[in-house]
Amino acid sequence: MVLSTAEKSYIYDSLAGENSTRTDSRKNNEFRPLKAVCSFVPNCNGSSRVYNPDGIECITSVKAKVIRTKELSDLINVDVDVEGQRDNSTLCLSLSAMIQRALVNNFDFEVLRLTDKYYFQLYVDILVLSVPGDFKNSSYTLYSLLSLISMGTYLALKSAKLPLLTSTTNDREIEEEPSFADDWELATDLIPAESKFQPMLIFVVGLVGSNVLVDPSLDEEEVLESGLCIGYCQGNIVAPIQSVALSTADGKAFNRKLLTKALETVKQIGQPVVEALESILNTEVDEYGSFF
Amino acid sequence: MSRLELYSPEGLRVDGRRWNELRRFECQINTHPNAADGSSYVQQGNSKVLCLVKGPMEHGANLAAGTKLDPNGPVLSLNINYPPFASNERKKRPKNDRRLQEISIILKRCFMKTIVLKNYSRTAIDINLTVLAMDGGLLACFCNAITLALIDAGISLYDYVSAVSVGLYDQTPLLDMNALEENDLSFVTIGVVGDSDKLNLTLCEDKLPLDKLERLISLGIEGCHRLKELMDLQVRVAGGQLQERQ
Repeated sequence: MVLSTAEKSYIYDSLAGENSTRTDSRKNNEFRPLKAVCSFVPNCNGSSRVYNPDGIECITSVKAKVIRTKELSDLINVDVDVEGQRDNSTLCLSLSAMIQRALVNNFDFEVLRLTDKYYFQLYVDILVLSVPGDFKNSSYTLYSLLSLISMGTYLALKSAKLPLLTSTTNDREIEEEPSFADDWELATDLIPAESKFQPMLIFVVGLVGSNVLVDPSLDEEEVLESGLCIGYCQGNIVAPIQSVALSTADGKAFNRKLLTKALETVKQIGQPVVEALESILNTEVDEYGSFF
Repeated sequence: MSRLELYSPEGLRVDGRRWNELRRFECQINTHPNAADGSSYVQQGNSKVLCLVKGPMEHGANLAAGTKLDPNGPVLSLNINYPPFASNERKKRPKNDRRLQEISIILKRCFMKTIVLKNYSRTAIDINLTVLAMDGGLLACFCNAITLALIDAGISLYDYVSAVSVGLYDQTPLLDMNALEENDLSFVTIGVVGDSDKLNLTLCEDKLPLDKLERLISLGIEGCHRLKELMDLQVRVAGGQLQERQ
């Protein structure tokens, strides 16, 4: 929505004050409702679909391939495609780069290891299906997609299945290519249930006045002073912690106390979000069912 | 896989169907009520396609600068999204892939004959197709998905256009080919208007003997009529739900 100066100042004042009121009457640390399903694309190892009620939808797929390499940072490739944006647009490139770097930095490469020479390489393809119609003439940017995309990636990685390895792994120096069982019924999880490792999540928070807003909506983004993206992994705050431009309008500098407050907020909401995502993973999906 | 294994002497195909059987067909409409004016999801066997329609509207978001709106009918713009994960082997396609561009021109021509043009002068209709998984029948899936999404958007059509691919194995026509069969056999995709025998869409990218073409098309028409019934059923279910809500 394109906001007038009066509307902007009204929204700003109601957000910045002591008892802030958000435009959709959420609490400061409350998400908008999200829906998600996973494992619905049969020819991918893992897949997920996350969408929120204003129509923004993100489909993520994980495909695995066996390669021979020593370079661990090659093992994860992320590709973001936003509807109506060119592949080489700044938005697509910076979203892919941020997600890729964040995943590589916080990944347990042991789950991808087959032998000392062979690894699984993961391709994470992210498709943002529809962007709001007024995107072109409004001042918000779509960097807030980061949080939606990271949840999609989390679900796709956690739901990914790999074929059962049948060749021996006793001799890790082994030269031969690993071989796998043909039966998909025997497939194992990419991230085993007993493993402590969890993929990382990125949260986008908005800073306004002395308040930290979780999951800012599009009209809130237009008045925020600044935006931050904060990584969360297994109960801890991890890189990236950086500011993102949520709006093309001029931002302001923020108090550094606010940064600590933002980190605290993310630490608080991280666990409930992870639990919610886990419960989605545990819901059975019928391959021919109605997930749309 | 050898070409000979595609149709066994007992008359069974690789996926266990007979020559005149369709794959499992599932469709849904109004899947994305908040993202677009009309939306649909079509699943033919393991092929899955999503279609979002925006319009009719005065300005198309995808309309290239300088494109004039047409006083005699809508300007259709078609955008095909074929993500790298859709095929079995991951493969990145450029946005201006020539085959996809050709397919979008064929679909545009087909639907300009199907939409009641006089109702939509000086408007734009944006059609956005997304392939989630592809196992043969690309054009057929697109055509069925667009028909359903246009119906959902409330755009007046003369009738359904249902499409299916038909291939030829030696002397036997095979209905609704999957990717394995498409790789090795020549085939033609046809789109039929409603319950008539009128074809609004034909595409043949391989060589086919002319004397067999008639048999292929008549088998295809039968398949299309069946698909139309299934689509109509789903539209009526969705319409019934809509009525209940009011």
